[in-house]
Amino acid sequence: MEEKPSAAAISQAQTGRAEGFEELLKRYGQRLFGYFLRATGSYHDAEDLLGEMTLRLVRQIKSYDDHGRFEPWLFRIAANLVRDRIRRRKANPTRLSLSAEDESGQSLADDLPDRPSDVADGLMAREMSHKLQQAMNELDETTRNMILLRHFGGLSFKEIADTFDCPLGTALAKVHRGLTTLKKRLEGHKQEIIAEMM
Amino acid sequence: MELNEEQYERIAQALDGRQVELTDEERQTMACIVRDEDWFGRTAHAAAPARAMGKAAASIRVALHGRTRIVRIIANVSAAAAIAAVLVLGIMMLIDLGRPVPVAPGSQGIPVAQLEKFIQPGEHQAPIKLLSMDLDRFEADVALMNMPESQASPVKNKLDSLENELDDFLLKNS
Repeated sequence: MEEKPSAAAISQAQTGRAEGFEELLKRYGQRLFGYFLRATGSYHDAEDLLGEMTLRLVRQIKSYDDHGRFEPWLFRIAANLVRDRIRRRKANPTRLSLSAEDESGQSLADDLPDRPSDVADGLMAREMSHKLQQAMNELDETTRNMILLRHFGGLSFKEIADTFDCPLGTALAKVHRGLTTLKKRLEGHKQEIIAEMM
Repeated sequence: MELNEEQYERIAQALDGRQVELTDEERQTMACIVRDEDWFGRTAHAAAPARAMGKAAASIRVALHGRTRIVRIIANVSAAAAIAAVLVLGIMMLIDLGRPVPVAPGSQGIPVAQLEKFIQPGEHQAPIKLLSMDLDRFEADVALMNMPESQASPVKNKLDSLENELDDFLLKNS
């Protein structure tokens, strides 16, 4: 997660060269997609937001100050996109696609790697992914975003505290409690899933 | 176990890579957080499908192309505006050249001889000369208006004779 961004790719992108942006997409695309998927719970939204993110990146890359770390800068833009999307969704509520297929015929579970050699494990992983999403949606928005920015964005706790304008100790306490809650909920679901599969 | 704000702050500093002295309780909590983060990383993993990455790459090309096009349009519009401004300025200057310029009282007029230095002799020489004479006369009229009566009569005589010369010239060239 602590991979260093290529300064060359960033400066190429800042001069408007496609290779720079392609390199940044290669480096951060997977993590951004994961962040969008877990933050919105929708495959369709994640794909859409990744496209929007690249447009934002093209527009805003020149404003990136080389002295700061790139990842917090990048994932703050991503967090703003997610916040706007969630606000819009609250204003115009539509169904979420957690396990059900969305317009593109994809579901959240479909993105998980297929492991045909071990069907039981694959089903378990898919089900757990689905349950994780449900549990995440039950967390408050700030805690959920802190956990996601920490994991996908690789932000330090200091950067999380700065992003959410809260004390350092509060940021860690929220992440800790959030992770504990998620783990407890999923442990309970895991026993249920195992029992169902027997 | 429930930690207070200061304890969480120290753990956060340690997790961020700073050298911090931790108590046993804080170290245990830190180890627990690290384990939970690892667990979350494994469970939350979601690979982006090739289609999503392809669409994102396409958006980059579209955005870059769009920006280049906008820059090109702005450059073209700026160039066109500059050309138009130069043209308008040129037309205004041409119009101004054809109009007699009023001379301020007391200033020196442009003598015909000096004008002739700048104007190539040719088929338009006669009308230009006429125009110059006209200008001189206009200037003299203005000067006369501001002159005391005693000084005015010799100038007036001179002007009258100039007028006669002009009439003769016009008659010859008509």
